[in-house]
Amino acid sequence: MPVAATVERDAELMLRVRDGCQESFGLLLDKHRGPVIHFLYRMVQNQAVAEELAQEVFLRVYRSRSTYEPTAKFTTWLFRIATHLALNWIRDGKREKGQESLDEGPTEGLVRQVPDTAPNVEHVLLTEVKREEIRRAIRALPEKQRAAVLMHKYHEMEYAQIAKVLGCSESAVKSLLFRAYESLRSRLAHFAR
Amino acid sequence: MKCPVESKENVDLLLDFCLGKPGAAAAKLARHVEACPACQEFCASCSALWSDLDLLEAPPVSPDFNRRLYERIEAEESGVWRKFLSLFRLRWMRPATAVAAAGMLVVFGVLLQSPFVPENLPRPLMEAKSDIDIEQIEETLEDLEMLRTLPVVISTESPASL
Repeated sequence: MPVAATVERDAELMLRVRDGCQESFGLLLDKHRGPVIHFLYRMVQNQAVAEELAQEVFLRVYRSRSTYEPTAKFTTWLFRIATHLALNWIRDGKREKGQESLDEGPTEGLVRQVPDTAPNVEHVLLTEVKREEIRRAIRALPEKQRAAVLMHKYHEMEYAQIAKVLGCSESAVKSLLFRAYESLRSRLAHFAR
Repeated sequence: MKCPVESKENVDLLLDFCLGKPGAAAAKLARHVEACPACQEFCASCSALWSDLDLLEAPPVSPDFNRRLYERIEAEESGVWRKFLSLFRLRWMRPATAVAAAGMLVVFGVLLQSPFVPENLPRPLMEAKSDIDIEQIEETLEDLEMLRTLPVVISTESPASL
């Protein structure tokens, strides 16, 4: 489906939600739930927290339905709320308050994702170690750089859209991304050797 | 063209090029990268990083995510009225109570100053007296005096003398 048509469809659905259509909210939820939770998961690196924050994102969307105007892409608005909540959560330091962190090891979901047909245990362990290092490297990025990389890499957003989500200029986003990738490259350089 | 890695200019274009995102300057960059070891190294490590980042998968979403969200929405919606009423109580009822009390005091004060008299009640006594002729009072008083002295007259005169 073309991007413009998708955007129009999302905005149209949201306008229907504004008019009281619950089914349209359900459609928006089903469509964007996955990307929002995955983005939040990569931001906060905790599945339970990611889902809790995602609930808050959709709750805020629902609360704002009566005043919604399709002035921007629906996904821009959605990710803006999600980023705002994630950055606040990170800044509040809630991850240090007894939350189950990915530092403590792979989650149940991640374990399930290891294929049964893995050639050997060593390969699985190496992959897990590599994955953990990537998590650490992403976690070490400054918050805005982290958000920019995740939107750029995993959600294939354009610079202009990332700029709108983060509330900065397009050139600032390019600079953020370059610095972030440079940092990741240097942290994960040993993988290439 | 200037080397993006060395000059730090157009690095976004180089980044897009390395990540396989076609751009306007792709052809120009391709020619430069072919001849530039620094950019080749940059592109190789970017491509490797890009595929490494694919390892960071997100776990599946909880099956009860929607149910929990709808429960929260429902709870919030049912709580909206409670919140509205509590807001009303807090923000409107307190001043309204004070205003009502003050109003009652004012009305009470006004009533004290000018008491209300219903039309069907009997006229006040003084108002009725004002219609009585002063001569009638004098005559009544004389009659009473005469009445008081009357037995004396009767007692001093015997029936036989009448």
